[in-house]
Amino acid sequence: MRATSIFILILSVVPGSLWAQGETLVEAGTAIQYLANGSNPGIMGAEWTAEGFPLTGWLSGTYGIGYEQSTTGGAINLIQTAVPIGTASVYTRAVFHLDDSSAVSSLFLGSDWDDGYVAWINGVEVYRSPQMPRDGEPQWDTRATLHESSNGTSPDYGQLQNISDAAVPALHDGDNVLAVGVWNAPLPSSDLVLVPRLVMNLALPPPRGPYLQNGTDTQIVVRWRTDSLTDSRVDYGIDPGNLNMLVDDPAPTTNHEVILSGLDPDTVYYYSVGSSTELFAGGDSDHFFRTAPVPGTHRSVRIWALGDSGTANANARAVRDAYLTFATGTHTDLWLMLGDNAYPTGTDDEYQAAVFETFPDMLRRSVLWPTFGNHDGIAASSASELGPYYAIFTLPTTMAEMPIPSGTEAYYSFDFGNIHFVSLNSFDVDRSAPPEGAMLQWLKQDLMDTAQDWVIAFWHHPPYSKGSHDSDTEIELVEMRENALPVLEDLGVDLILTGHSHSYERSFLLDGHYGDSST
Amino acid sequence: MEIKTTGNIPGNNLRIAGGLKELTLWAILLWLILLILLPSPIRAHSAPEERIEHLSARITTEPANAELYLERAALYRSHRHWRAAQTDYERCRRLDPQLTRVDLGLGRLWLETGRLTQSVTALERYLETTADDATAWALLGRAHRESNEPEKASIAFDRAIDFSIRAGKNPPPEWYLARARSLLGSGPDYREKALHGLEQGLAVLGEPVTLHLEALQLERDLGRIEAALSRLDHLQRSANIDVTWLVLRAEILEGAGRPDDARIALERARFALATVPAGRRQTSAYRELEREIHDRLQRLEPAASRVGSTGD
Repeated sequence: MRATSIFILILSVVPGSLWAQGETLVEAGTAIQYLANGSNPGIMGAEWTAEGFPLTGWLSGTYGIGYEQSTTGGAINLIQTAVPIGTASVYTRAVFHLDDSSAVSSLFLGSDWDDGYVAWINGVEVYRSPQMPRDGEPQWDTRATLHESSNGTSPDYGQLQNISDAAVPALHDGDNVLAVGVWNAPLPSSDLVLVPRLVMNLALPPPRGPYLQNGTDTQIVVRWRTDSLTDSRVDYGIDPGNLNMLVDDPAPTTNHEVILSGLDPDTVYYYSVGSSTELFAGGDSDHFFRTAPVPGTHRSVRIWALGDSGTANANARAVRDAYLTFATGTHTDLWLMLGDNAYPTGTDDEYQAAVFETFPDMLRRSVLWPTFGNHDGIAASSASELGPYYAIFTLPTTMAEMPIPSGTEAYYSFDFGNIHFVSLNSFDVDRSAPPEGAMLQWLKQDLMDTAQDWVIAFWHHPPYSKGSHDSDTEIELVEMRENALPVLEDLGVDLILTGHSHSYERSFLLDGHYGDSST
Repeated sequence: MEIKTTGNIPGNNLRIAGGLKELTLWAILLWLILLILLPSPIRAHSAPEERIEHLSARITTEPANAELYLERAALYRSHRHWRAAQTDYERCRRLDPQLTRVDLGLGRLWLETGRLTQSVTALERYLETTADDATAWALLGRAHRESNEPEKASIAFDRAIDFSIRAGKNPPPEWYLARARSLLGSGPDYREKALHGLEQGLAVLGEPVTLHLEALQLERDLGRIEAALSRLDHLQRSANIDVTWLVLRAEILEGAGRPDDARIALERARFALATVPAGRRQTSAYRELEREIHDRLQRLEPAASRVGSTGD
C-alpha cells in the first residue's frame, strides 16, 4: 500500500504539461482605473498611457470591463465593471509590481475582446489588435472593425501574443503600468468588452520537425515548430548544394506551415527550413522529400504502417530501428500511423515524445498519413477538430485537395501512384451506414470515383479481432465491420490496415462476412 | 527436513523424494495453473483501464474530490459501463452541486443509453450555464432528433454550428446535415431554409460531397431541376470518373419528364463506364451500376421510340 501511495503522490505533483505555465500579472479580476469615453475626454492620443498621467476623474473597477445590451446573453458573464451602453472607447490602466524586472525574460498578452484594442506598457505601445487602424495613435472616437468576444461564461484569452521585444525593455523594478484601450466598431453597437491577460516568463512548447504532410505529385506541406515567434521560410531545390527556390510567409508564428507547389512528380527535392534571418534545419543531404508519382503510375511503392506506436519507449525505438535497417538503401515512399499515435492520452507533450522525438529522420523525408485512435481522442475531438492530433497534422479536406472532398480532417483520401488510400475514423465520428452516416456516404462516393488499381483503407478499430480487443462485442469494431466493410468490399478494397488490438492478426481474403465470430 | 535422494531417476522425473523437492513440485504446478488462469502479459492493459484504477486509488484517499468522480465517470461511460458511470456522476453531483459538467456527462450518458427525456433535461441544464459549448448543443440536437422533435433539433444544431464558428472552428459536415434533416423533419416548408443551411456548410468546409448531395436532393424536391443539374455539373467537373454522376443526371432528367435527355446521359454513362479500369469495373458496385444503366436504357428506349412516331 505504501508503494502505491507514493506512486499516486508522484503522479499528483507531476504537471500535466512539461512546459512552464508562466506567471500571470494581469487578468480578469485585476483592479483597474478607467475612463469610459462617451464624449471627448480632452485627452490627446496615447498620453493617458504614460506612467505619471494624472487620473483625475477616473473611476475604479476590475477587468473585464465593457457593456452588453442583452440582459441574459452575449458577453454579460465577462463584464465585471459595466460602462454605459454606447460608450465609444474605454481607457484602462492596471498596475503590476516587479521586484526584479531583469528576471522577466518574456511577456505575453492575450485578451477576450470586442471590437479592437491596443496595449501599452509604461507608455510604450506593445500590441495592437488587427481591428485597429495600423498607423497613428488612436483617439477616443477611433473606430475598430468588428470582432466578437467569446461571449463565454469565463474569458477565452485566445492565443497569447509574444510582446517581449517591445515590452520587456520598457519594464523597470517596482510598479509598472499596463494601459489597454478598447474601441468600439461604428455605433450603434450592442456591446464592448475587454478582458486582457498579461503573463510573464511563459515557456513556449519545444521545437519540432521539420515534418512532411499532405504530399501529392506536385505539392507538399512542410511543417515545423520553433520556440520563438519567427516568420517562415523554406528553401528547396533538386541539388542539396543549390536550394534555388524558396517560399516565404512573413507572419510571425511558432507553428510553421509552408506549402510548396508547382513541383515535378516523382522528384527528389532537398530543402531547409527557418526564417528570413535564421536557419532552423536542413540545407543538407539529410533533408529531402520525393514527390509522389503522377496518379496512376505503375511502380513499386514502399509503405511503412505502424499501429499503436505511441509508447515513446525502447520498444518503439526498437521497431523503428528494425525497420530502418530493413529499409536501408530504399526510400520509404510514405508511412501510415494507424491510431494511438501517442500514449496515453494524445497530448502535445506525448506526441512530442512518441512521434517527433522517436521518428525525426522518417518525418523529414517521407510524408506521414495518420488516422485517429481512441487514445488520440482523449485530448482531441473530431467534432471540433480541436486537440493535438488536429493541430499537428495537415490533411486534405476541400475540393481543391481531393476530387470528392470530405470537408473534414477526421476522414480523407489520397492517391500515391496507382494506389488510392482512404483513412477512416472509427472512433468519434458517426459510423452509420450510408446515406445516414456522412463518413460512409463520403466513402462510397470517393471509392466510386477512384480509377486506381489498388485501394488501401486504414483506420484504428479492427473489424475482426480476438487480440487484446474483441470484435464480437466492442461497438466501434462491430460497426466498422457491419457498416464500413460492405461499402469497402462493394467497391473493391484490396487491403485494410488497422490497429487497436495489440497483436499481429491477419485474415484470409474475406468478403461478405459481417457477423460475429460464431457465424 | 531430511532430504533423501534416490540417485539416478530414470524415466519419470516426477518421482521426487524429499520434502523440499515436493514443495518445489507444488510450486511449479501452482505457477503453471496461475500462468494459464491469469491474463496474458502480452494482452494490452489499456490506458483508460489503468486510468480508472489510478482514479479509484486516488478516490480512496480523496473521497470528497468531485472532479475525480467526474473523470472516472467519463471513462466508465466511454467504456459503456453505464451503471458505474451513472453512480459516479450522481456521487459527483452530491459532492459538488455547482459542478455543471456533471449535467453534460449525464446528458451524454442518457443519450447513449436511449433515455432521451433525461438527456434533454441534463443538457439543457448544462447549457444554461455554459451557453457557448458547441458540442453540447450538437448533443442536444441529437437528443431532440431522436425524440422526434425536429424543430428543437434544428435550433440546437443551429446553435452548435454558430458557436463553433464563433470560436473560430469549423463544424463537422455531420452537424450541417443533421440541421438540414431536422428542418426537413419539420415539414416541406423548411426545405428552402435547409438548403440555405447546407450552402453555408459548403462555403465553410470546402464543399464536402455529402452536403452537395443533400442539397441536390433538396433542389429536386423543390422542383429546381436546372439548379440540381448545375450542382451535378459542378461535382462532375472535379471528379475523376463521370459514370455515377451521369447516372444520377439521368435519374433527375427522367424524373423531370425528359426521357430523351435522360437517355443521352445514360449513353454517355455507358461510354464512360467502358473507360473505367477493368479492375474497378468488376467490383460489385460497378456491376450494379452497369445493370442500372442497362435497365434504365431499356425502360427509356421504348418511350423514346414511341415519341414522334407517326401513328400506330
